[in-house]
Amino acid sequence: MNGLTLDPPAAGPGPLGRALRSTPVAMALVVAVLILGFGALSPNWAFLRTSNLSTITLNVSVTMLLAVGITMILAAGELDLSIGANVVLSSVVGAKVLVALSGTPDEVRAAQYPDLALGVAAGIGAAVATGAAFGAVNGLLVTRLRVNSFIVTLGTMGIGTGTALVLTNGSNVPYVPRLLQTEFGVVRLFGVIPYPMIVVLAISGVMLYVLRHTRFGLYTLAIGSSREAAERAGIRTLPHVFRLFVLMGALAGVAAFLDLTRFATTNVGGHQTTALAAIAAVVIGGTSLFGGRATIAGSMVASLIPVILATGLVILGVQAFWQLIAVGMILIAAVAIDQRRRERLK
Amino acid sequence: MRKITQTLAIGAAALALAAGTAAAEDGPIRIEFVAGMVGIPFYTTMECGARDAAAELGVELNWSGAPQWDLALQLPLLQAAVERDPHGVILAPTDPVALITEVQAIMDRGIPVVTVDGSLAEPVDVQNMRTNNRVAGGLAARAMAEAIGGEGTVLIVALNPAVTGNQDRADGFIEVIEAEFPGIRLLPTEYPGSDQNRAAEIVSAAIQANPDLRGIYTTHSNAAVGTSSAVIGAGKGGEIKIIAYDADPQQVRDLKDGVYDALVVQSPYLEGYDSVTLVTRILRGEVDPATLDDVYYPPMVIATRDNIDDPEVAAALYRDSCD
Amino acid sequence: MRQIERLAEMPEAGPAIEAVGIEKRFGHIRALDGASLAVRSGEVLALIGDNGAGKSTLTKIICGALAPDGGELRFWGRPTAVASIRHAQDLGVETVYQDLALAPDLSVAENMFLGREPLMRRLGGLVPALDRRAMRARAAEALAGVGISLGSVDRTVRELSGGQRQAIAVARAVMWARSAILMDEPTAALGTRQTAIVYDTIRSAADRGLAVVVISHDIPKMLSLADRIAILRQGRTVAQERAADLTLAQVVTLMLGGNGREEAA
Repeated sequence: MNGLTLDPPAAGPGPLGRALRSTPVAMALVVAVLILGFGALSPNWAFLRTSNLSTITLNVSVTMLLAVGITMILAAGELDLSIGANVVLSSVVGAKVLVALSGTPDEVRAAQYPDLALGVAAGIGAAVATGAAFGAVNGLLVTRLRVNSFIVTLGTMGIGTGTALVLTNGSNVPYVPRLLQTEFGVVRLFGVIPYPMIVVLAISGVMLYVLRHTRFGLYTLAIGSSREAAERAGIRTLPHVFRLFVLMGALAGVAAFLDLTRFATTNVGGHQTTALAAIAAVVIGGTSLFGGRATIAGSMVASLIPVILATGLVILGVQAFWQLIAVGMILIAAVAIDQRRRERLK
Repeated sequence: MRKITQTLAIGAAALALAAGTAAAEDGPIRIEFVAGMVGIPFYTTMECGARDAAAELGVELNWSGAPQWDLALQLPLLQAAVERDPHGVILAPTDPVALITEVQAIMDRGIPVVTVDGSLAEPVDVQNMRTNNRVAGGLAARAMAEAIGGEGTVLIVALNPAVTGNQDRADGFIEVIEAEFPGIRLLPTEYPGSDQNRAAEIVSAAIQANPDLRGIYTTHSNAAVGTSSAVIGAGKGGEIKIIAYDADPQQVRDLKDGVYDALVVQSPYLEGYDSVTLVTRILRGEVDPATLDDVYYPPMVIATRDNIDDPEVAAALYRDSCD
Repeated sequence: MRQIERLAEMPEAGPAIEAVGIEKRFGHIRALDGASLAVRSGEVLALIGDNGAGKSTLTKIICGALAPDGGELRFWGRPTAVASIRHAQDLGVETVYQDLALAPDLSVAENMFLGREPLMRRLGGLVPALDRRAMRARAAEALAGVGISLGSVDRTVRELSGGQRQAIAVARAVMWARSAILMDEPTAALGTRQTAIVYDTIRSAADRGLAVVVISHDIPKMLSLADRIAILRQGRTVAQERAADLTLAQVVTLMLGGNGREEAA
């Protein structure tokens, strides 16, 4: 080597230093502190009971799944505000297909579902397909019209909610079999891991792998970091962004079906703040709001925080209005502390 | 101001009396019924009541309503109804303020207007028929006491304290529990809004924190859905009693299946039946509008698995169609 | 067209890359109006011109980032419409862009392989995965090959200085190029020592048989480094000469206008 060293070689942080700098690890610590704190404060350590912790994972499952999807969207420097509306619309279509194919109208009215297996299979397919189609519309508008995804998805959020209301006349789809709930939606493997959470963990694992170990994941980050650089590297960025929105939509479709099994009904008036909750979790977990830097593990851990807070404060008997105030303050504090800490370590 | 509008309204209704009587001589009385929305069991049931009354009284009834609860959709329907020159109008107002001038204008034309379900901020109508939410809350409280044997811890899952009608359902419940059931301990009321997931979170936590939780009273259907999911998920189905609002076919089925233990059944059928009857009687000169109260509360029932087949309870349940 | 005639007189094998009469408009602006150049394997061609002469536009057309409105590109004498950056890469042509085209949040190794990552198979060949180990090793090797040491190729580009970033862009191009490298002001962000390294790299790349096109404002250095000089003025190639046949004054005259061609001859 006859050349010169451009700058003194700076040693990268070691494994420990890197762990200390990582937001997912910091948020995992926050989660641990919250769990232990609520445990100590709650009567008879009620908060630390397996049943409670298990219920928290059940309650977080849909938000966590959406947060994982949003991580990919934010990684590419895009945004999707329409996921709550997508969940509502996909669950409406899924529920309608499920009920229609499970038996005749008179049968389902009488809680008879002779073709339940067919209905469930078709319902899952319809929910995921609707979600993916919703995402495809977002993707087309973003990549073809070149309209900012914040605006596009703000628009499709209204369109999706409106479509769901038109399809249902504003009332929830009736006669969804309660069996979905009692046999799946609230059931726990070994009495501990809720079935919906198993689905969420499996999908999250795949997405974690995709983001970290595949070209698709690397290109997503590259596009979010510098679209110009990605294009110069020969990456076709517009088709990639389109596929990301379809993926997000399909995940919203899965979330819609999980929601359906959890509550045994649709939720046409709901999910108005779901997108914001998911985006907040993703950013708290360490993903950049501006693309290029993303962590699915961080999103998963951070999505636990609001549910832990909500559960803990109810268990402590904090009055409903104070809960809102406390959750807001703790979220801001957690992120502020994390930022300070990372700056100090740099 | 209130007094003046009321006087005006009564004066207008008196005119309507004369006009209506005259019109009735030409042909059958024609009544326009503009619903808050159509396609949901609550309003379908109201329509059944209105049609039954119309058939019994021999009046013509025209029923209309938008597919959604939306003032912008309802307003053209109301205006079209008035264009048909009816003798009387029944309206389920989708907005308490925006429709005041509309209703006043119809009254001024000598057409009596009865409002149902929702109400107007000023009583410019002949009468308003709606659920007494406070009384309903009280009925629910007694049903809860019966379901849990008069003692234990009870949680109220409401909507939002700013929504007065819904808050009355909680307040009526609290009043009766505090006055009549010293053995029942009420937890602080929770407000998940219309979010099922939030309701489920809250109820899950409350179950963890209160092993002696015996009953949950929900003041709206989203709270009920979230609550039932949490209770079933905690393996406490049947053990923790849930009282829910309304009696859609789905909810009635859930009552029979043991998901809910009592339903507070509002009176859409009676609101439909009684409003058509009242308008007809005013038009026929049998009732003097000046003697009417501003508000009339049709009687409600509480449905339980034990009484669900009783005729008066069965008649009050909401329906998908009038057959 | 005089420079083209001169090319035909040259004795050796035909040029690796040839651009003939390239035209490009952006709205009403004529960025290129009959620009031409030719570069042989093993040769450094300096592309010189005033700001706005069309140097960057011409390189972007050759590397597939822009489509020309007229004219012809030839690779080894064969007319070729370069459809995309990927297409140019497949022809063995690499580019160091003026803006470097690095993704700041990705690591050095990821940037050097972006778009062409080595893959491996996991779980019995079912699951594809980035072969990060190979990426790291080859990236470090390529950086060392051009005399650059960064400590770790896992550092993100965001953490690096402007000079280090430029070095990575150059090393990336050298690593992938099989027939030609186009460099748009590769020393813009560099200090004197670092500039020297990049010039060494350019020379050694040419010595390895690559055709190198360098855009630079450092005319004296180009006169000594390059084999030939092409001068663009107002979107047109006004001269293409052997560097040895040109003086600084002649280049400046050609660049800015006036009849420098006669003086050169």
